[in-house]
Amino acid sequence: MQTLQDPSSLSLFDTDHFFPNFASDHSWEPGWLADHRTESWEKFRKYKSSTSKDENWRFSPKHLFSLDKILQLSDQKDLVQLDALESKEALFQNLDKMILDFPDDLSRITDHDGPNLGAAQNYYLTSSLADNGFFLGTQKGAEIPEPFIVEHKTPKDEGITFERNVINLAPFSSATVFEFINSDESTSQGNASSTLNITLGEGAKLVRVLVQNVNNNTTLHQFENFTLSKDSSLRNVTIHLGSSQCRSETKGDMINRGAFFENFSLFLGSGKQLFDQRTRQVHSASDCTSNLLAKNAINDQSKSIFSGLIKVEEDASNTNAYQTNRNLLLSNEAEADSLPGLEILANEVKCSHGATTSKIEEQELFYLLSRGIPHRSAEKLISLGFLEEVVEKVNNQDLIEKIRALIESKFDS
Amino acid sequence: MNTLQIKNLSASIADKQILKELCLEIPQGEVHAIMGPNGSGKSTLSKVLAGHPDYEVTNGEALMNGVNILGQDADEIARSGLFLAFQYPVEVAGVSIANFIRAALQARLPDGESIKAVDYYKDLYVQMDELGMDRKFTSRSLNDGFSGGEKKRCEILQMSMLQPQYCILDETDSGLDIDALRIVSAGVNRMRSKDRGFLVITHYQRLLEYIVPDVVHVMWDGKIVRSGDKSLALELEAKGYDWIKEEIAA
Amino acid sequence: MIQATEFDIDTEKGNFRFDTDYAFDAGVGLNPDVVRYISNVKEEKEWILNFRLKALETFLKKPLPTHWATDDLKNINFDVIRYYLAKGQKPSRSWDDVPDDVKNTFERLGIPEQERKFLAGVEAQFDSEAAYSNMKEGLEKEGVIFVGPTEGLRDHPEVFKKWFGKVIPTSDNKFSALNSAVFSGGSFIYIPPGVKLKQPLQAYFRINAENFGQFERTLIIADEGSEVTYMEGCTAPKFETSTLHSAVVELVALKGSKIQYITVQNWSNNVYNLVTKRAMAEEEAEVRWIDCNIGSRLTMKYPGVILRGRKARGEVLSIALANSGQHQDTGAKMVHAAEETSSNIIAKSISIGTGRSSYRGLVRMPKHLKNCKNNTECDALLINSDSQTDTYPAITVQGEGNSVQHEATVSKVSADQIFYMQQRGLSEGEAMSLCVNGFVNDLIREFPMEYSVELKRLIDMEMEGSVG
Repeated sequence: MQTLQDPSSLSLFDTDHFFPNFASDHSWEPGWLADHRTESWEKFRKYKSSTSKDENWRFSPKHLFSLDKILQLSDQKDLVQLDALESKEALFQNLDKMILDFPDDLSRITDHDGPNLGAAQNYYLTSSLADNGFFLGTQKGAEIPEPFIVEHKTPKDEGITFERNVINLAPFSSATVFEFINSDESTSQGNASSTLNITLGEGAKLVRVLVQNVNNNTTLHQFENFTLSKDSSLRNVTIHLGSSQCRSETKGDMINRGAFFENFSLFLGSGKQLFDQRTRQVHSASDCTSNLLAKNAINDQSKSIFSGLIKVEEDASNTNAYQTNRNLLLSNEAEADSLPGLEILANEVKCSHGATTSKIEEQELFYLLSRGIPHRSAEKLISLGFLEEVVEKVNNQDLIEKIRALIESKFDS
Repeated sequence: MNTLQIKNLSASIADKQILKELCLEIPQGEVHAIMGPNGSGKSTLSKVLAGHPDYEVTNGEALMNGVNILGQDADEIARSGLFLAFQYPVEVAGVSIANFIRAALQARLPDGESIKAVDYYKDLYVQMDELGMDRKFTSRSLNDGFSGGEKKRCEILQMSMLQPQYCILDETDSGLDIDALRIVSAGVNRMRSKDRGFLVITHYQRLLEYIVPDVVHVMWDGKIVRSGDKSLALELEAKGYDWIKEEIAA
Repeated sequence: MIQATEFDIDTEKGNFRFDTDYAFDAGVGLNPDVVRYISNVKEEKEWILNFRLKALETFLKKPLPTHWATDDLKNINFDVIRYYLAKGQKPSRSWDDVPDDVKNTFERLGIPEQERKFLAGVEAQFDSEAAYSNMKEGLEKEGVIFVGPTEGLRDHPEVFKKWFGKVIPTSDNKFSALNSAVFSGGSFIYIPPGVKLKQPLQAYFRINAENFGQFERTLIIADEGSEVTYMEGCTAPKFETSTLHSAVVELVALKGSKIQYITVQNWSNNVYNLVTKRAMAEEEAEVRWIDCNIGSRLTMKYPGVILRGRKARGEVLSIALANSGQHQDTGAKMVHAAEETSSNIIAKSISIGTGRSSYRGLVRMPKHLKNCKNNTECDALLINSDSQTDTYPAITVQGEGNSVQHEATVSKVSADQIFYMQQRGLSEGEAMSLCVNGFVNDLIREFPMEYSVELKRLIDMEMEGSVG
């Protein structure tokens, strides 16, 4: 039989039988989930066929994140491990368990959407095919001081894994989540695409820390979409050390008054690493505060892209919104792209952004040298000091020490 | 041999000559003061000796215990025993004082040896107590957001921890109130010893009431134009720098 | 004065009337025949005609840049626009037809009677001819060439052909292509080596002597060590019949020269003003764009400097004022292409009523360069609760030898400030005007004296009725 296209040239997600096969493999799942997977798949196909130019990919070598090069789905189902923190006030389970035992709690994901800051097709693909992930839900008023710990792994094979992660804090509850992403092997060329939806009820408080240290052959796609209700507060700290290329999209939407959103990130780049970060602080209601700090220290031929937008909607009076991007260039071939944006539709606002890119100050270097510290050590000290501003936003001393050690060892390697 | 000997030192920045065949010798065990009006080259002298890359040495040498330090890297010079207390210490965000001094001490040890944390902190706290510094200071970023007085104390703290053979204090009195001046001076005086030489650069005689010099030099237009004992400082204070200017012209 | 055979061209705005004389009118819409017609009327050489025709192709091929720019561009109907009106054909209407608020504006600005009629479109020209020929005579003695594009390309091809369309290639964007197809009017200027002009060159007189072009083409070449200041536009509102303006301005600053280009744009609120302005700065040359946008419905303009020679300097100082119904989409581009180049961008915008102001910036420093510096500051002031502002900078830095810093703030006039001044006896409106003037004061000082006084008055007037 003649076909118009040689099927072997089609990428995995373009073959006709791919999704039907996937769906039949998952026929044991509840009907609402099957529908959700199909709906997401259709959105993915729609976005994939659109070819319009997108400012959200400006400066990005988009082909590096193409799904067309992916050959297979990883069949590893154990890529998310949870530290079994015993709490009667919280539900903390991996995705499989949720589908089997707590489908009603999980079914809220049908209302979720992605940050959709350019890579919407990957978000919908991930929503459609997620086989790993975790769910954390708290009871109203629960105050849980111990951190919930989630260990993510990238696949060992050269396939892709899709993760769906959910944090729902009920009104007036508080929690801390530490997530780690690592690779078991240093050479595997895996892909990991994950979504994280955080929904904070009235007065809820969450600290979430991500420490990403996967091997330098891995491609990461991360989609974080946060919804903050009245008087809730979220501190999101992400530490990016690993991956060959990482596309990170983070959106925080403050939908009721009094919400407080902090987003801090650091990237230490070496080799040919690429960190492509897109963020959005959306002020949909009055009296909210958001603060973003993105610090990138880049060495060798690595590259960082920071593209951020503060959006203040018409009714969002008494807004305080800040956005700061600082890039430290440590080599002559490193590149930093900075796109700090503002869209302001209300006038009762205090709003500013700043972006700087430079090398280590000669004066600072000389000061350290004049105390007898050798050149290489002085550079390292100053770079670590540069990143420290983000590290110290982590609210746990043990984790701070761990992050410092990781950063230092990356610097030494 | 145990002396810092500066011979015919000429140096320039951006093609502008600042030091002109300057000669000066500071033996260990002595405190020398340099006074002079703004723009005479006092700060340049301190930076050139410390190996600042912006300055070009066009002539002369600076022998520290017989070894010429000019042309060496700044960190090498520092490790071989020269300390400069800066007039304007730079702020370094994110690097704590404790980590910084530790790194500086570590750099002075042979490969494979490392600082013992317990001894280090014990020593650090003793020095901080002497300087009236709160222990919380150790975790603060280096000079970041410090007041003028705090910065200068932090310089003296580093000096006392690193135990250099030669100390240059560049306008350490500027920006200090009288109490801070006393504390800083006491820190310096504690360190006076037969194994250590001091070069105190100052604009005013006031500092020299607290750190009493053995020799006072007057610097003018890139060279030392007059030297004497501490009474020279008083004479300068009384008559002003114009007096020197006239003498040179005459 | 103008004869009276008339027909309405724009019934919405101000009742302008045209003489009908089809011999000098290319008609409406855009096609190769219109381009041939324009070229023919101007008796151009064949290479210019080919340049225009190729540009037309590019224009038709290029999509509107709505993937980043406002959708308002879609409201331009290119088929009903008149792309060329020849000399001799001028709009007219009677002084009685001029709206009272416009007359009032002239009154308040203290514009002389003669000029008022010209600006209101009542008279096509006043005594510009004389002013221009006086100026021209003095310049010729110094070897300065100051002509229109037609004369420039015809009489001085050895000077202008080399650079024409080189700083801004036809295909740079859809509107530079449009301009390249239908340009007429504008200034071609050459300043010989070492000549430092003390008086600014005023486009005002020269262009008015011809009839203002809606597709102006300007090329200024400052030869080695020369200095020139060029001023275009004027503070008084200019009432226009044509709703699309699309100019291309190219500046060439050769070694050690200085060009300062000052613009005050105050088109009426029905005009799309889509302008491409770029300069090339050779070694140790200095280019300064000083730009003030008050009028138009939509302005899109991002003056740029390509810093091509060592130690070249580029600067953009920009003020934008967007009132209800207006969108000022302005900014700057600095492309560093040589070592030790530096650039500075200061952009201030004020949004009043439902007005929207946007800043777009581009700063680029490639890795093989050392000691390049950029500083960008953009500050936005919002007056009313439905005023809008956006900021979209794009900064690329490669290599550790370069540094950039960018800062932006958005603020409103604080109630405390207003109260303080009210307590001292000022009205709320006066207090607001004072604050706004304070906000832009440091930039207004960069304009020539007579402009800065008028700009301040103009801002006061724009502020009226904005509070309460």
